[in-house]
Amino acid sequence: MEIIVSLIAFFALIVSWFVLPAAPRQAKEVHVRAAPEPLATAA
Amino acid sequence: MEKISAGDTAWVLASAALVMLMTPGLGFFYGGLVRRKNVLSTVMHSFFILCLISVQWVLWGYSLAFGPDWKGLGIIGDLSWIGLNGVGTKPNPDYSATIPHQAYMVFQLMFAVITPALISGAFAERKRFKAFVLFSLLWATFVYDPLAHWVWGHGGWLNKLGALDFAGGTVVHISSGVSALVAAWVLGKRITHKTGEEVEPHDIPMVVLGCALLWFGWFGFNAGSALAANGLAVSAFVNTNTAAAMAALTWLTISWAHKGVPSVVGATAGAVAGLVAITPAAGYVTPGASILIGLIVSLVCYGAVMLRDKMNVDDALDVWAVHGVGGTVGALATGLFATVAINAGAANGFFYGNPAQLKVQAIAVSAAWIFSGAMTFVILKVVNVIVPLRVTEREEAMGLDLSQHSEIAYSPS
Repeated sequence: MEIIVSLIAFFALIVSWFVLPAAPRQAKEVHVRAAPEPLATAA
Repeated sequence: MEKISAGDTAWVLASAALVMLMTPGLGFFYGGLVRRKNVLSTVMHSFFILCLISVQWVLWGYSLAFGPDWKGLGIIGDLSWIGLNGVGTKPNPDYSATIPHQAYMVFQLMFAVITPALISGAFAERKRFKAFVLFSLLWATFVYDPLAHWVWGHGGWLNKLGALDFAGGTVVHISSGVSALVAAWVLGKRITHKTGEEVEPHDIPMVVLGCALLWFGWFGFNAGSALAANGLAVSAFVNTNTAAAMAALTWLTISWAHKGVPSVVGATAGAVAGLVAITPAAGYVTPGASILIGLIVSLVCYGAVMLRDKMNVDDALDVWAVHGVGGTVGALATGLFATVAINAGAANGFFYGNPAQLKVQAIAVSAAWIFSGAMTFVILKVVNVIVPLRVTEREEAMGLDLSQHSEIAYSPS
């Protein structure tokens, strides 16, 4: 019984990762834009 | 008397070393989660406790926790083993017949060390160092030592009642987690709650490193608690790794569904929650049950973190939600999933035809919550009379690294 429930739970997690959204695009853009600033300051 | 086993002794000593590494590992875990101006003070909490309790344990802590029961009440050990008097290299069959008594003592020492260190996450970034020192010493003596005696000591009342706690779900995690909640409440919130300053982990790779060290050390914590190099140790080892992994996957998935991203910090928090929950159960359950325990603990602990968000308590690093609640889940799950097929010397749980075990586990959990919560409150009030618990607002704004230790973690040069 424990094995069957564990199998169901594990596969449910795996399936959910393909349904869940990727990281928000907006957050990625902020990081890309923010990156050059310290370099420019240092120069 | 059985002969000393070289294999058992080697494994228990190696396990003691593994558990020792968990405390500085915890320092890294907590240290990465705080802001950079408080990282040294946070790491110092763990490192200092390693030194402080190592001496306390040899002088009187071990005797109070594991010494002959005082007046047969099952509450605390007497002081006949003070300074390790009579604790030598011959085995003590009450605890383990195949390893030197001192090997058992030093293994247990490492548990006594990490438990008060766990609490430090609750009062991070605002507790005065002197108050922390006094609190830790008093807490180890008046909370940890009696509780260890109740559950693991020869003649302890919960031990006689039949409570199952393989490696410290009740003794280590419930006690530290509940005490953390009380400490956070008594100390009050950090000033960031007034100023609205953003509090983010300053070094997430450091958090992952700390988590990895904890996970590694936890093999000694749980598998070492078999006190022998045998099949039970292997079973505990497998369960420990399995529950941690499943809990990390589950926490990651919940936080992904909740916040839209697979959080790295969330994965580490899940792994620790899984390690906490499997601790009392590691030597009693099947690998299948360890997967379910990992699943359940992340669901419950994630809910506890959200609940803590709504409570008026600043448990800075969620010690209560992960250790207090996780330890409770593990202790109760032991009462559900324990089976004599894994550990013939223990008892079956609810799912194996023994519902009475769940009741015993609930009694042990309740006793640990009430005792550690009440005693921690009293100890904090006493300490506050002698040394103020909190730093001043100015010192808190400056950061504890500078205000308490006159050092900084990362030199600008």
